[in-house]
Amino acid sequence: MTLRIDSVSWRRGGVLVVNDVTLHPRPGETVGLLGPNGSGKSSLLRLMQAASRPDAGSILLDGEPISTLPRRAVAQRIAAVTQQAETDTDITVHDVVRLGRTPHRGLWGGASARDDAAIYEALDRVGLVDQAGRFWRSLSGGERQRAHIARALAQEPRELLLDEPTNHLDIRHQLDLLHLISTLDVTSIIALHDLNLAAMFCDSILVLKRGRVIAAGEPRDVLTPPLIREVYDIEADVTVVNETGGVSVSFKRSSCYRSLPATRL
Amino acid sequence: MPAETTERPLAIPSQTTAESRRGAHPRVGPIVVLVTTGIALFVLSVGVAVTLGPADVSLVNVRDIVSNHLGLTDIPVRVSEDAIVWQERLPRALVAAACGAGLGLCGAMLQSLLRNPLADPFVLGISSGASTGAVLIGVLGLGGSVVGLSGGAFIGAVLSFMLVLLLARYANAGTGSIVLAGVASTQLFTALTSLVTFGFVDSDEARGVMFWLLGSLEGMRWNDVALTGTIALAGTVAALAQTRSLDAFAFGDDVAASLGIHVSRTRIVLLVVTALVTATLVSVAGAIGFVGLVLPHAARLLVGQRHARVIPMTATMGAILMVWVDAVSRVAFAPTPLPVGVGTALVGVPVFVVLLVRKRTRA
Repeated sequence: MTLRIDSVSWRRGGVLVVNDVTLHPRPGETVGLLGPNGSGKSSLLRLMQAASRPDAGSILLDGEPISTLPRRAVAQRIAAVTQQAETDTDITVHDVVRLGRTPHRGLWGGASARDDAAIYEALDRVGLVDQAGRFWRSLSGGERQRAHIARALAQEPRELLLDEPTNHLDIRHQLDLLHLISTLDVTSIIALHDLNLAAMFCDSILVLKRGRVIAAGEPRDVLTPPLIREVYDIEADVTVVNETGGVSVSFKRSSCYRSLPATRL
Repeated sequence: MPAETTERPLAIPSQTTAESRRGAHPRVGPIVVLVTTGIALFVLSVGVAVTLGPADVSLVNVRDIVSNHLGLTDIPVRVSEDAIVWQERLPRALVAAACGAGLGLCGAMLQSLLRNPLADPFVLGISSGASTGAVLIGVLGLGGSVVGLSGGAFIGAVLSFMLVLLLARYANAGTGSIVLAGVASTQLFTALTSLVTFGFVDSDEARGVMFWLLGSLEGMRWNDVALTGTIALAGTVAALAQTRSLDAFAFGDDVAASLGIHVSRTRIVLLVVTALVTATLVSVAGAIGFVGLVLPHAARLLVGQRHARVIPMTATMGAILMVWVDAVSRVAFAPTPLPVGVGTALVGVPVFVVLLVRKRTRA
């Protein structure tokens, strides 16, 4: 059992940002959320971690409405990495990852051997063990992102929600990170912009446009030229790349700025 | 309290551990050593501070007088010395310590809760609200007694704090807006205080009010020690109970919430604690600036960012610092006493500038 989202709608500042979305991820699978900027990916992730309550529909965690569960119980199950979480404090990488243990620690914050092991393992998984003593302010954008991922892993979640986790990462780290996430024994729901990465690493894909689900299913079934045209207003070629049925998307330059006069380019 | 062992992951070669700790924050050592050293330094500071002043009292006499009063010994001492130490200097030093610890604590909590390194009761205008409350009570003739003045200060502090929080909230709180709201509130209440002082209070009273505005520990008695000590201790316990949450606020509300923190509830509870501690201390000792702003930063330099260490360190350092600032301002221009707030500002501003410059060069 894992998250189960049924007919969820959410109005934010008068705009219907999530409109009748249903998503039933299988335990352990990696789900990609695709869609243009403002299509409701981040909002949907917000609802799934009970950071906000939907206006309609239900979100269940192991059959229990997530809004009725204690915050701490939710945090022991679901970890989230949001976009651009920054700090002004002189916090070290180790301290950042240690934050992931917050829902597992008691009131007075005593540390257990399990905490230390989880922190070390999380640092190891994102390749930051050597950097544990460094200050946040000295990290590159990619290192910060990996530190946040490690923080989420240290939370030992069974559901992992990631909002564009590959931002700021070079291609090597993008692939490493998504490989890591897709092989973890957790249900991962990832908002992504890169269609090829989604095709490579996601077991299933949910495509959103203006808060609505446009398509859902396996990458090769979902990622088609007509869908990409409908959602992104872009012409694309989709080719099957290997025997497992993976797909690769390439874009046509002619589709850029079609509605703008040529002199603007 | 997490000891140094929290740094050491299980079952990995020590070489890796050493490497992972490379470049770590300079730690002074296990927290136990720090706390013990802190308490020892504090006791010593109070002892030495009490010997200072126009009437010379030796450290040995101070020890005898204190242990007599605690009922541990019955050593004959001069009555005049006994009165000076037990009725004047010791209560005063202890109130100073409570103010230093409490205000430092409030600064540390505010800086985390509001995610603003400049947050501090003084900067947020709480102290000026207290001043307005006090002078208004004086003018309305409800006070006259110290209790009335303090009561007005307490109400003024709480009201101005609420005003700042509301302003920041309706300005849709970025981390900077609360400081701007504090600036606005400080200006408003300072103007109101001046208005009342110029318009209604005669010059003698005005001087008294001014002295109090700058922070004064004149005439502190044991009941003041009991009040400020209790509130500082209660504030420390409340903060220590929430160190997990204070840590989790480092990356903002969303991350804190995803770590299982009740963001709004925790913030409201701790802001109320801060308001009550500040209002109580300001109502007793007047507006003492810069302690809450500077000390948490100094503490973090020594023990890193974890609030389980920052909170006790800030409280201890605040207590020790204030005992000394008060002792110096008592004797520097003796017999004329210097308002203690002048001392904290003179020490605090340069330290603050150093912290700012240091931050900039490393950024």
